[in-house]
Amino acid sequence: MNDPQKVIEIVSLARSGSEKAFSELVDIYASRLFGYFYRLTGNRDDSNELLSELFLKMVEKIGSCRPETFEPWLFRIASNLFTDYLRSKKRREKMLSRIEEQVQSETEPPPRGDLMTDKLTRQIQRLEPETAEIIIMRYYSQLSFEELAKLRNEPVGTVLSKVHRGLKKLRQLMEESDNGK
Amino acid sequence: MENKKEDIDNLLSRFYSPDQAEQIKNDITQGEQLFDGYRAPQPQENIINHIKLNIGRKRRHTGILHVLVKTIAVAAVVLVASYLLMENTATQKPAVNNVQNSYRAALARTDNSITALEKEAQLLGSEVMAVRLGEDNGTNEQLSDSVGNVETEIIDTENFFWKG
Repeated sequence: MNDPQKVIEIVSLARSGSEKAFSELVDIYASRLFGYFYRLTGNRDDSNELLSELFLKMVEKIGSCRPETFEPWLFRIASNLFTDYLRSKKRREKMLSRIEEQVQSETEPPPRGDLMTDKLTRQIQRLEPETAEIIIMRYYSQLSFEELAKLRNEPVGTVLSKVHRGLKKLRQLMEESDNGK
Repeated sequence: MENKKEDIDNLLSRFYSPDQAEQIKNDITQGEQLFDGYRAPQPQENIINHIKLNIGRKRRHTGILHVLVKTIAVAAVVLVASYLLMENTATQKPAVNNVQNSYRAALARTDNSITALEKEAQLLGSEVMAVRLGEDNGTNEQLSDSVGNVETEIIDTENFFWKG
């Protein structure tokens, strides 16, 4: 875990235009944010793309962020990017299914996404997207429940309950998968 | 991944009974341990380098744009200020002319008054002379009063004259 004071200093430097500070922020957050995107999308390429987009947005908008609340701010952008991604994915899938209907192919549809997706990610994909996002954000952002509630504009009790139910459901899915269900 | 700067026990006690709180804490801990057990892949080194390169480009691009926007803003301010200044000068000229005209008219009016007063003073002066030349015996009281009146009038006129 990074020293919050050090992060504040780096963010302040980045706000004043230091390229080195931006690079340091990439080094600090790339791994966790890649994990966040990977768990949600189950796809390496999409995660890489989202990660690049996120850091460019960070550079563009860092002036509007207070250094003390950088982490929730960054994960809020990540969450918005993921929401946009889901929307465009749904549009893409709709379009694909229409094409498939037109072609009426009898062959199996080609697998989408990353074939190497691990078991945990596959089970996460079976959760409701909102539930998946909240438990993944909780884990990868390292935000407290209070911070998470503020970020999502929800009461802390609601967030606590959603995370609890989500993680419980995930554990159940993992156990079922182990038992071959 | 080790979390977080919070007192989870205290938080749970606000919403749940001690037994429930304990159960929920266990569920959350075990759930998060799944993530510890199945580590997500790391982003590739070349992707990170590519991102850093793009950030550098973006920064320079944003920097140039920033300077451009600033320059345009300053130029716009200068243009607007010059325009306003010219506009003010144009509207102020007639005002100055008006003041000058009024000033000249006032001067002309004063000149006229002075001329009239001078004429009156001259007239009164010659009248006094005529009266003085005509007072042979000097005993005529009415004449003496008239002279006194005329002199008073002269003094008044002179006073009025100097007061403007």
